[in-house]
Amino acid sequence: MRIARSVLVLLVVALLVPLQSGRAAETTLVILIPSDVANLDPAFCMDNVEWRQTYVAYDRLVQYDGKSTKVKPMLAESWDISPDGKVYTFRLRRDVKFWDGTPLDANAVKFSFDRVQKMGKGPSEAFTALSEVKVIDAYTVQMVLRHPFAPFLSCLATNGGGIVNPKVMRQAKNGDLAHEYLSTHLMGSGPYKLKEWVRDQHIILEANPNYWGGKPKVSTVVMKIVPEPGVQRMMLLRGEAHIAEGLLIEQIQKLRGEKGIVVVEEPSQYCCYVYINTQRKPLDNPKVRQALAHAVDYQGIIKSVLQGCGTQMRGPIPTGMWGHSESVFQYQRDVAKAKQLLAEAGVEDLRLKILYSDRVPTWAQEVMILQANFRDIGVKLEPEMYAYATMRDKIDRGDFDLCMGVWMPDYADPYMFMTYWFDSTNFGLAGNRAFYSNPKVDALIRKAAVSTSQPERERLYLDAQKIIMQDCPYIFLYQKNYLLAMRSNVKGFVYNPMLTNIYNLLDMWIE
Amino acid sequence: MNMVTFVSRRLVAMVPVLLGVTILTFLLSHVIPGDPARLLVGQKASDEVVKRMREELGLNDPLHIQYWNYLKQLLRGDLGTSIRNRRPVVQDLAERFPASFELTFVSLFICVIIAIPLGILTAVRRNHVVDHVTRVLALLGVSTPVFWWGLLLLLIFYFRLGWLPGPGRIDLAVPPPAGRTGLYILDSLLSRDWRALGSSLRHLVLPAFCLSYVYLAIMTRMIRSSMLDVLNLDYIRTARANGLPERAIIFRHALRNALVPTVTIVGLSFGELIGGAILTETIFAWPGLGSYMVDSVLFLDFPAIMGCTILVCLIYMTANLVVDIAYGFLDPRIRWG
Amino acid sequence: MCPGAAERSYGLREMSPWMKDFLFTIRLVYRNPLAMAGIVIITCLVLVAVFAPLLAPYSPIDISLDERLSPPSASHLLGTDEMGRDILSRVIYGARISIRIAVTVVTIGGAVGSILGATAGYLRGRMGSIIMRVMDMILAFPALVLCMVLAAALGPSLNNALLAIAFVQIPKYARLVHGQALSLREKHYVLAARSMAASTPWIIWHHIFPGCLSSVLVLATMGMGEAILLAASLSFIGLGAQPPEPEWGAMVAMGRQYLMDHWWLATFPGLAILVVAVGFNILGDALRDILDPRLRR
Repeated sequence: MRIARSVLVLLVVALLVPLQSGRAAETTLVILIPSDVANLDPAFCMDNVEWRQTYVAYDRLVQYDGKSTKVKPMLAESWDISPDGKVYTFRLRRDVKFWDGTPLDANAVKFSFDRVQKMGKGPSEAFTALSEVKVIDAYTVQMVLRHPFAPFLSCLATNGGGIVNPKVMRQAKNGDLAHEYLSTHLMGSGPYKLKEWVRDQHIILEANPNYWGGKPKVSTVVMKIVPEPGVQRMMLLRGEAHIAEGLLIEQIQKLRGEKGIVVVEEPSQYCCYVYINTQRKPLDNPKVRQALAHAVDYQGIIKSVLQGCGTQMRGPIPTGMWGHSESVFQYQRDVAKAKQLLAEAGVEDLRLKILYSDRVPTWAQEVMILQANFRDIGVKLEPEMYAYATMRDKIDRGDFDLCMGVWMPDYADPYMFMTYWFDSTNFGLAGNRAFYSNPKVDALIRKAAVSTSQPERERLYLDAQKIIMQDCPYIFLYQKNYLLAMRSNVKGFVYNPMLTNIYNLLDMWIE
Repeated sequence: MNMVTFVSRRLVAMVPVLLGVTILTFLLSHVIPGDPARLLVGQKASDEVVKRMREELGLNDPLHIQYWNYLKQLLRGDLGTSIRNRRPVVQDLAERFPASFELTFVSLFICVIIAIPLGILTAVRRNHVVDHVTRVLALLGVSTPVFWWGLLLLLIFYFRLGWLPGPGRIDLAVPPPAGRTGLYILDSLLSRDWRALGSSLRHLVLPAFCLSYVYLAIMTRMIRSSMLDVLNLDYIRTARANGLPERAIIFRHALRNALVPTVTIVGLSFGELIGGAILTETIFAWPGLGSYMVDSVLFLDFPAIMGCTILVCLIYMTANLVVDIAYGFLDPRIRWG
Repeated sequence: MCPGAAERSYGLREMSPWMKDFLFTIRLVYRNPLAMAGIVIITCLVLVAVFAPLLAPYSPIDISLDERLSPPSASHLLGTDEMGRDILSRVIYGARISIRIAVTVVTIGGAVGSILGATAGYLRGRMGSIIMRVMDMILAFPALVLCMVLAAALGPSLNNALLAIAFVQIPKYARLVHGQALSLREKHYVLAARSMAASTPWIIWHHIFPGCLSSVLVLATMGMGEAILLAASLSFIGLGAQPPEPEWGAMVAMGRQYLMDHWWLATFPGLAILVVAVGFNILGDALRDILDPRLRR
């Protein structure tokens, strides 16, 4: 009893003893993230929240230039492209070393790309055109393509193009190409390395003081996992975190004007749309699809759900991506026209189900608005919410009438939108979630994919977009602005639309 | 029957129950439509890539083969590899279990130290104002959604007043205590790391209070009614007749017997709480089993779902066993049998 | 005394012991203020649910984007939510869902559990112990996993959530009834029935069930409050009622995101849950006191 009492007293005392400076040093950047990440292998992970960690750990041959989607040299000082567009020759910097001191040379480049291709996981999709990587000399590397592929340079700036230290193969087990090791470790040459990863608590990155691009100003970056948005907001307001990633739009709007907080708002290429299953009756009739597209209150959704932080899409290619054209048709809410189209199609008492999940927090609200909008034209919409995994399975099998969807490009090329969404070989999760097939569109976008002349590709894509808007396989809802709330003493952050969730940590500092 | 035979018998009896649980979970998690392979390779992957992934994960084998393989692994103490993060499930669970254990333990501890005096008070002052007020307060606890309390507590004590730290197990600036158990309080006590002890204790206050409030009602009521039972018994009447002071009667004679049913509730609550504190864990960013379980189900991470279920069942049954053993100590009339 | 009264009292004498007991209980409930308070709350809930269309000033599901997040005012007494729906109307219609939850869960869980428990307790032997082992298994099974898996498999909906909640409630009733059945089967009137070759189902139905009725009633009353809270928790993690259904738990869950700026979204449905849960709980609590043989006479 006496022992119990003294332990109790001890606990109470320990509870009351104030901490000497509970606050972290100002060279530590604290980012609040809503959930833990799963995998850090650059040849495996496909989610922007995972790239948040890997992108600053590995260097790539080329990089996006600040805000723009054009690429500039990174590891490759310069490059040549053969006239037929099939051979790329890169000359590498000679002063780059991996964290362990191993020089980053042509062999490491070859190793990394071979690894991505051999693994054959998601990131390899960006390099389907790549047939072979040749080491010319220690610091010259040649990439040979199967066919000309205009977006290739842009692909090299994706996360999958990160150069991995070949010494990682010492950790390989059962021919897994060190996948297991790289899933939980980073082994690159970038400005930040992994210091600590405590599952469901935090991930800590520390600066690489010998980085060839200069010593990072922020010495430690902590990604702290806080699932509840309201709690994230409290922490940000109290100054215990610098950046909060998991806030809802309403919360971010409320933070505007709050002392010590800045809200970053930039146009992004985060697109939200509704897949229409074009194989199902009566949705196989373009008139019915057009009627649905005319029923939607686009401005209402943007005003209420996005609090005005977005724009209605005009055609499948978002603004900010070349190939976007103001001449493409845009559906507007027109109840009379929609009813008329339905009448022309001879459809009455239409009942549709719409598939969504709680993965994207705004979907539930959008579905409710769609429900009300469709009721106005006499279409009854039944929401069906599933776990994200189940939803994806249903999309893949085409087991839906309508379905909510979002898409973000991995690299800066309209290919990301046109080929993935509309090529009839990409049915299902691969990208063509509307199961849309139009031989004319197929021909146009396939021709555009292998052409190396941008004006020609632009023309081809424009023609395709015009047909697509008439066929209306998707309802193009909006392009959401990128919103991020941070403490005002965080400086130097630049948002690149290709790199959502990724921070240019090397250029950032805390005042 | 002596205790050893009793315990070993009970342990053997656990096996079929556990086996049943594995079959149930296995069947349940495999009837779910949804393809974890798809989730893993990302939304832009081609069919070819997905097919390879399915093969690698062994998802193409017939169900009974998959189950048999799983059982064989299980006997070796291997719960398989999480589909979501490619780590051994055992390792994942081992990291989360101490967090859950600590939270549950402290919550129940708080609960018991408040509930015992309250229960006695309300029993002695039956139908008094104290009794009614306590009853209402306790009922409010059991009737209010946990997430409501959690957010409110954070808003007041963390955000507005700043008395207590925000979410998480320990301050970011404080390195977690060195030690093997993963229980921060125990580890910091053992390594005499007072800073870590203070920080982790303070981080525990709000979530533990939030959780314990729910169980306070049940426990207070339980102690109250068993106190009432005991106070009506002959030996208490005899003690009173002999002129023993009321204080001695209550604490020395009545309380011990009144605690028997309370032990049951504590034991059962422990089993329930350890995997069921999901909402509290979400709000307080507590890296415990509950949130791990939710994530696993949402990702259809079969090995992780099964691992969690088996662990939670094991804890539940162990708690039950401990309760039964405790009975024997508390009440000499009850024999282990 | 008029002949009718004599007949009635004769009837009372002829009643089986459990019937007398039951009538006595009802009389005690009348005299217990706490029990009455619980009954009043629950009656209000039922009335609100029945007359929801008359009481609610607006539709619970029609959205009105121009009015979103407006604070309580004369036109919207409890304010509006993020879709501009009237919260008062949603809370009123939510009463219907809450009743559906309470009744479904308790009926399924209580009925199945009681049947299994009574059978196991009356039969004893191998059959009985198998049933109780299965009950142990369900009891050990984490309820939320079951709910989540069901929701993921069948799609989250209120009905699936209810099914899952009911399922995990079964062992509670089974255990309770099992214990009582074990002692009831030794009672003289049961032995008498058995000696007259009454069939097992007949005995269970006519003697075992009625004997357990009062304690099942207590558990069921408390269980209704618990079911509402559990359903609310499931909605909170997105596995319960689906939008636009005005389920209180789902409303609180949605509203918590706005808690700091628009407190009314989560507060009112939260209060509704609280009041109803308290209602069921105090009624159950009072019933337990009333039915406690040591305290009743």
